[in-house]
Amino acid sequence: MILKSLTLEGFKSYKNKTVIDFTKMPLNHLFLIQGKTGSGKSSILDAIIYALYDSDKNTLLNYYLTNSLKENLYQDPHSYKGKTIMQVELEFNYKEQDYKIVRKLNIKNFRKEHPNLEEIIEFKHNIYKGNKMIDSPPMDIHLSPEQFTKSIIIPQNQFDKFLKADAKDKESILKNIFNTEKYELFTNFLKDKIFNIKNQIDKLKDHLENILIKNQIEKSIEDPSIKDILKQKIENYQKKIHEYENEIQKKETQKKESEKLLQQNLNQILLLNDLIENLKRKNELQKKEAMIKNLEEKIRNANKVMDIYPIYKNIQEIESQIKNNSKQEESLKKELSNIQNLLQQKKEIQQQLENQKEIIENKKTRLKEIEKIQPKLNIFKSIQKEIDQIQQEKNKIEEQLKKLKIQYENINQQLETIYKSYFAKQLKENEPCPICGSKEHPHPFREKLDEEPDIILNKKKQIENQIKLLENKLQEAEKQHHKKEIEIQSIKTFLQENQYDLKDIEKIQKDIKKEIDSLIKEIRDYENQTKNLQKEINSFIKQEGEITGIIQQLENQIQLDQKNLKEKNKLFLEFLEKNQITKEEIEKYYLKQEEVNQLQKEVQDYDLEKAKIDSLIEKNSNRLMQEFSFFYKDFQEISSQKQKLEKDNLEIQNHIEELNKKINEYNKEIGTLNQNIKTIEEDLKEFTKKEKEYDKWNNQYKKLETLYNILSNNNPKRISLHRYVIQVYFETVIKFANERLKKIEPRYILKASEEAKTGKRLAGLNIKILDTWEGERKVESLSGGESFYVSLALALGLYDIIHTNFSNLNFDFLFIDEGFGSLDEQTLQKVLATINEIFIHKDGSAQKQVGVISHVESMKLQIPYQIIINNTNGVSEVSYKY
Amino acid sequence: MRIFHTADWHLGKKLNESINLTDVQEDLLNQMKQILREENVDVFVLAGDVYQSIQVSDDAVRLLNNFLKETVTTLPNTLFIILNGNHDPAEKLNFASDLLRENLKIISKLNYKLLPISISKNGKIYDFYPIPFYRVNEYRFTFENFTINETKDIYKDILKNLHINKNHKNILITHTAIDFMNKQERADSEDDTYGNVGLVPSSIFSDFDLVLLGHFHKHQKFEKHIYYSGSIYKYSASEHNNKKGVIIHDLNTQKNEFIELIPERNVHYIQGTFEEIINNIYKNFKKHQLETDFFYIELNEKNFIPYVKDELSRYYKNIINISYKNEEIFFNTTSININHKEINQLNEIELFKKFLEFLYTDEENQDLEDNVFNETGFKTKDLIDTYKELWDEFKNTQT
Repeated sequence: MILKSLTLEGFKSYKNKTVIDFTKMPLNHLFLIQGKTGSGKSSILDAIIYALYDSDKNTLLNYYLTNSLKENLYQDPHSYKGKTIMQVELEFNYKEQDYKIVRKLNIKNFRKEHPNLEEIIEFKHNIYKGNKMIDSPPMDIHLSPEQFTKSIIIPQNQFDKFLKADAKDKESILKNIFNTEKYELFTNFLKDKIFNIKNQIDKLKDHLENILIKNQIEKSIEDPSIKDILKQKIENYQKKIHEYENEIQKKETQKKESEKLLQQNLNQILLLNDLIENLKRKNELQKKEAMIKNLEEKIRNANKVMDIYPIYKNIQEIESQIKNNSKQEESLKKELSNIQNLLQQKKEIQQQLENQKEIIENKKTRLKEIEKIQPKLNIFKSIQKEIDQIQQEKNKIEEQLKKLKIQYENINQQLETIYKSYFAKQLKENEPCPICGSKEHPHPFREKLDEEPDIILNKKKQIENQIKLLENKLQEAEKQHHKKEIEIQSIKTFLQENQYDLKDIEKIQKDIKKEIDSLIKEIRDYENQTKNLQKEINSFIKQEGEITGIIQQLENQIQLDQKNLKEKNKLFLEFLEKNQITKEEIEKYYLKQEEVNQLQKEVQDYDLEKAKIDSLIEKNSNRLMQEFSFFYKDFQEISSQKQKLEKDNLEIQNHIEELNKKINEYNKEIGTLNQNIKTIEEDLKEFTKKEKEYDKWNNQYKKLETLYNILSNNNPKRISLHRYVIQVYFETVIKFANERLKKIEPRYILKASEEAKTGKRLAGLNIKILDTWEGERKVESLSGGESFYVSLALALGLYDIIHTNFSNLNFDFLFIDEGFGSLDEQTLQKVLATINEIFIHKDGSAQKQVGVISHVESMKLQIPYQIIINNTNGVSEVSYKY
Repeated sequence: MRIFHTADWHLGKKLNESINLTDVQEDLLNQMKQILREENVDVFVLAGDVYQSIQVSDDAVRLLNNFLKETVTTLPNTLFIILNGNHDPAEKLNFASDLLRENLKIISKLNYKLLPISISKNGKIYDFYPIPFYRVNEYRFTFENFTINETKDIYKDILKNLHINKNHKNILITHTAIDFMNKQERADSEDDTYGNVGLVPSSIFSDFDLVLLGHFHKHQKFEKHIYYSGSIYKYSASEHNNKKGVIIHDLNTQKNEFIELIPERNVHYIQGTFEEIINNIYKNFKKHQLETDFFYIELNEKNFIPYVKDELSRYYKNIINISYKNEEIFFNTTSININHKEINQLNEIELFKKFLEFLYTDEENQDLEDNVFNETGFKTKDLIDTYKELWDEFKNTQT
């Protein structure tokens, strides 16, 4: 970073706006800011620090704000209303980019008469990167303002701050410069991790201990016998389960026996039930007996009449049939006579029509005649039309002819004229006129000719031709006319003969049409009538025929039936007599064959069942006898036996229930024990697993803790890793500083201190002075001047390191405020020579800006580039020497 | 034509900034006075660095004043030419130079009108060109020539403006550092002023017959005609072997005689172990030397000996400086086992390994593995692997 310019207004002794232009001072050359004591030199550094780092309100108001302005502000705030009362503006170039920081102290526009200072002041900052406004300065340096003033800008009386700073402070500065923060962060990270692991371990420990408590094992979790104990527990439980299982086995056997007995009893009871059942049924059957007997009789009777019944029925049928047929014959006969009457009527009508036939024939002829007229009329009409046309044509032609004749006249006249003129021309005096022969020609014909005579002659010829044509045409037309007239004449005569009025052809046509239509209709009607009538007659004849046929058939049938009946009756009566049955009985006893079959079935069923029940009863009794040695005499015995058995069974059931209960109990116990075993097995598994984890974590913890101890200062040399790294850098700073110091005062050598004393204090980062003549000296024992140049050497050493691209800082400027006054001349020269070496140092970095602030006379004489601060009446002004 | 050539008096200098040499210098000046009286010289040349510092001490002024008083006036036929050097306060040296006597020229400002100072003798004309010392920036601003960037540019510029008459003998007098194929020998006390004196190649002065220079404290000669008279006293440790004196140049005989000046109090540089130094004292030095002479002592010891000065002061009364041959003993006082270059090149794991070495090994106990295992219960490799894992994890959390 290179400073370009600093603009001050209202800042300390820079009451008026003052610009300090650093660009007037060449880079790579030491420059001096000089002026009387109190002229405002150090204020420049204050302003730079303020611009870069801002400052607190108190400092700004009470130290930085020009005193006189502050006084005025208190007395008359209104005069500053809305104005900027203090402004500091720093322009600098950082990483090849121009920046500007502007910090202002403004007075707001206020209304109150006597406002509070707090209310009316406001601080404004603007930071510009090029022309853009940005939020914060571009420093990627992490030096705080305090650290800044210990290393980069070394203000008055503070040059030995770094030299005398405590280890912590030095560490902090070096940490920021050399970016070693990561080691600190890493150590903290490790610490957190260890803490987390510890938590994990504690959790696991609790877990393991809980398992032990649950299982009432009073040992420490690391005891190796724990697993065996758990295993032993499991075994015990398993033994117990075994015992229970044996017991269950026994009970089961007992149960089986009882169940067997139970079953037997049940079987017997079943049999007994069956027996009872059967006996009951038998009783039921007995009740039915009478009914069955009845049925048997019915069957017998039915069989008796079975054969004759059909015949009986047959006879009845024939009789009825005969009756029906007779009836039918009657009615048909009636119908026949009707038809015959109708037929007669129709025939009469037919005859009438026959009579009219002739009239109709006449009408037909008439029709024919009239029909011939129609076409003739049409022809007439058309011919008439043609005649008219021809007439028209004729007229036209005649007109044309007329016209042409006129034209012809004209032409002739024209020709005459021509001839006249021709001749007139030809006329010579005293020569005879070829026409009239006169020799005098007083008025020769002079007329203008429109056209040449040839043309006119042509015209005349044309017209002549045309006239000829037309006349021909006319003749033709005449011929036609005549022809047509002849044609039409015949028709005319015809019509006249028929007394038609020729004048009104249309009417004739209409009348004819009417007549034709009516004739046609009449003829048609007649023919239709005739046809229909014939149809009717035919159908009646047909009907007559049919009915007659049927009547005949019926008669035949009746005869046949009567014959049959006679025979059947004979048979019937025979049978009746033979079997001693009466007719009435036949009706009474008849049953259809299916019915009979059904009744028979019923009887059969009854018999079968009876037999079955008897056999069942027998079987039952046999079984009871054989299997259960039970004889019965009567129903009562069976009942009581059954009761007894049932009672026995109840007891057995109870017994079985008890056994079941016991068995369940035992099973339950087994279940519980199994559960316990499961739980313990789980515990064992869990314990084993967690134990492994615990061991793993524990190892990890131990390892990490060891590492942490090593990295923090709990190690043999009591130096943390971070401090170790810092120490390396620190020693490098010392080394560089010593290079500087050698040129100034070879007697003194800076030493980084030895390892820490034992105890809790952190090691390192102490500076001791080795006086090669005397020995080690404390830094505090140096004189003022010695302190100054030793501190300077340190500062330059630090500055050197920064510029070996060793760190990521980018500060190319260094300011040293005073301290030179405490040096003697020779030392001063050496100090200046060593400061100058900054510029000779070949380290690759580009521009350097190094300024010293001093009032020392020889420096004024020696250093050619100067910013001179003049202070007149308390107000600082700037001038330059370069 | 005989020229008395001297330079680099550094009047007012304190040896090691502490020891006052006024008396010694006075004595040396007296010796020079004597030589002047005895040798018949035409020109006295003092080529710069008359004073030690721009804040001239009273004593220094007094010395010079007395010297000039007793020489310039008593030798009116000798021309005294005095130039300023890089140590001199140019303006102060120049004080009242125009009012002074005819045969005293104190030149600290370049004035072409006054150049050359011509002396004719025996039919020959000798042109003296005294060029005072300018710093680069001074020259730039004084002559408003901003093309000048180095000392040699100054001389090139100046010589351009001089019109040297080849028929005359041309003598250049100036105060500067010659570069003669890097063979020039330097001393510590030449450049300890603000603003460096750049090297000027000797070829620039090829036009002159004789070049009388000041600035180098060891008297030396370059080419045929370029002479440094050297300082009159051993002003720094590096000069302890030099012979100190003045030169008398005889342009006729072409002889350039070096006359040694023996100071009252000499400067010695002794080396050796503490024992040797103590034991060899009386072999090497006479008693009075031990009393009055100045000693630079270089101890060849492995370890630092505290309060060694007190010890040695018992024998050597005037010790200027005690240094140690092996400067390394001052460094690495802690047993940190890496330097800043290495630390930049190591990655975290290697750094950790170094750290472990630092913690668990020392000169007696070199076995890292053993020591680590004994102290921590873990193997080194184990720790390093774990460390690496942790760093990877840590780096991930940082992104």
